[in-house]
Amino acid sequence: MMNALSLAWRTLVRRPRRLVLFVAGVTVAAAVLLDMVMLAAGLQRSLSDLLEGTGYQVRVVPKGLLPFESGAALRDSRALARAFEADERVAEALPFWGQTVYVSRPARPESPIASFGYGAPAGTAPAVRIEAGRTVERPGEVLVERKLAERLDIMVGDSLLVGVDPDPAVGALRRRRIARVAGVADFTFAAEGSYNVGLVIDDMWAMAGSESEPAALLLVRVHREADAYDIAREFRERFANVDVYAIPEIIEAAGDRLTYFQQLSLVLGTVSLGVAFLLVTTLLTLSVNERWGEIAALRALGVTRGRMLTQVAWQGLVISLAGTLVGLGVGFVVARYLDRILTDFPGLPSDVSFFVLEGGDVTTVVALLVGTGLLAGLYPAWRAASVNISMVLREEIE
Amino acid sequence: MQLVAEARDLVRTYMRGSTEVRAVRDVDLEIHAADYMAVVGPSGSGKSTLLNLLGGIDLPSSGNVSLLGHDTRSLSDRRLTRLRLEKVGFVFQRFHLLPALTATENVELPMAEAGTPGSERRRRAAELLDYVGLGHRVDHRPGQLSGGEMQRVGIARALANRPEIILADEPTGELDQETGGEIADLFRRLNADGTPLVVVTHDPALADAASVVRHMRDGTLEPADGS
Repeated sequence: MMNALSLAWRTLVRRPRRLVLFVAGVTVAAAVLLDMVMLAAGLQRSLSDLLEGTGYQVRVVPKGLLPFESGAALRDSRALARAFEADERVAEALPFWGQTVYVSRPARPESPIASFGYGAPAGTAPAVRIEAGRTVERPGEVLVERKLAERLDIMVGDSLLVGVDPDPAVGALRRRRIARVAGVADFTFAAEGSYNVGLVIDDMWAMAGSESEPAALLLVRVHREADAYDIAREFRERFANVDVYAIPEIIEAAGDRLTYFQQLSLVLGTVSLGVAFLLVTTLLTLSVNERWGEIAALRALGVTRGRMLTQVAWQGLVISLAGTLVGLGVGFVVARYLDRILTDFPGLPSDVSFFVLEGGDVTTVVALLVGTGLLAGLYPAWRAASVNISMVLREEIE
Repeated sequence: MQLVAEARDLVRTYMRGSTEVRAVRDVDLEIHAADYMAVVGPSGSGKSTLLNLLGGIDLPSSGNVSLLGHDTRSLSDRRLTRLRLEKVGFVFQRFHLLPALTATENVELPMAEAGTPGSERRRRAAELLDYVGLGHRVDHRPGQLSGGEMQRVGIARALANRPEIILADEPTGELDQETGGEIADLFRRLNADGTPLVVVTHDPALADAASVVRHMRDGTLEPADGS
């Protein structure tokens, strides 16, 4: 019973309601801090996971741009892909193209649904998870996103009208073709509230009337033993008219454009630490002031300055630890809620997250708050340790 | 007879605002192993200050206090604290028990600080609470005890590390007459069992129980009867 932690706890619970209020304050600070730590790098971590998940480690994009950053395209993408594939470290290079397409049941061509069409070479299935059927293996086939298939009530083997360039006057598509549904899939980069279809890239080019074989990017998969970073660096030098990125470089480049998240996180995280510091200092200073006579008596009885200092410091530790443990749970729940709100923004892939928790985050938050609790305890602990025993005892009975 | 504490030319001044207060002036005093000394006098006469100086919780402005052979001014705070812990028992007017701890735990506190093993602490705390007549209240917290019972716990706590002297500052100041009388009886028994005591008090019953009564006025100790 007589260890310092137990004594600190029992001293604190002498005023349980006040303790609960202060721990609640530290809880809020801990929750905000956790959320800010998760937010600071969350989007980058999430994008990194998404990009890594496609299995293509290198991206080739028009000079000066990030993938899908504008409508600009790589020209003669098939030839460019072959040039990349000539390198023995490259397993596969796929031109990838995206544009708005319209789909409808052939029986109801007057009400097409706007969708995002992805084009890739026949037989490939980048950035999709096939749920039924297979990917598109020849022109005239279409891969349909599951929620679109449900809306149109179609299944594998059905026909679908796919086209571009709708005529506003009649609602029909000026350039269109009938495609057979080869499969139903979830699209990795599908945005919330949008529909997606996958086509053979030649069909996309044909519908767009483009003869330059454009691509928004090339997806490059390197052999397992090859270093994507080295390959990207070498290809940048070799192909001066395009940009070549390994995934970490894309994430870094994206991170430069997301610095406001990091700044927001830094400011709010620092504020939350400041609030936690003030709460712990205030509570401990109140506690020491109330126990002035008791502290003087303990010192008179032979309790050392060091022991008094430790006891008050333990109290700071107990409050910050209790608040942190509860705050971690609260912060996680709040992060999930905020994430749902933020990922509802139009145009964002629905699999992306703003708040991503990694093991080190919890350690960071606990270390920061425990450190803050200990620092916050220093002033009241010093006051307790340096009490003028005889003066306090004399004033107590005057 | 063995000298437990000794004051020579003792002076203690301190500032109250801009005024210098001479709380203790040129006091000479000896306390021997079998003494039960009561220091009496009007409020503000310097009794408590003298007690604090004798117990090493305050240091003289000039002169010396020798506590169990140690000059208190020559000891570091750490060594002086250790001396108080191991050799001096303090009893306070306001008890100063820790409200979160039981009677047993309060008595154990100085022993824990001295590094006494847990089992021995518990055994001695039970023994001491029994000695002061609280064997049936060992698990009660201060809030569940009467003033007299709290002071008995305070006395048991003062005895925890087998001190060589007990210093009590107005130990009956917060108690009614009957309870004060019981504490006086307890002190008498303590002294009879071999513990020297110095008690600062206004309580005639407590002073009557002492073998030596010294009067203090304006910081000065009046000559002992018969000297």
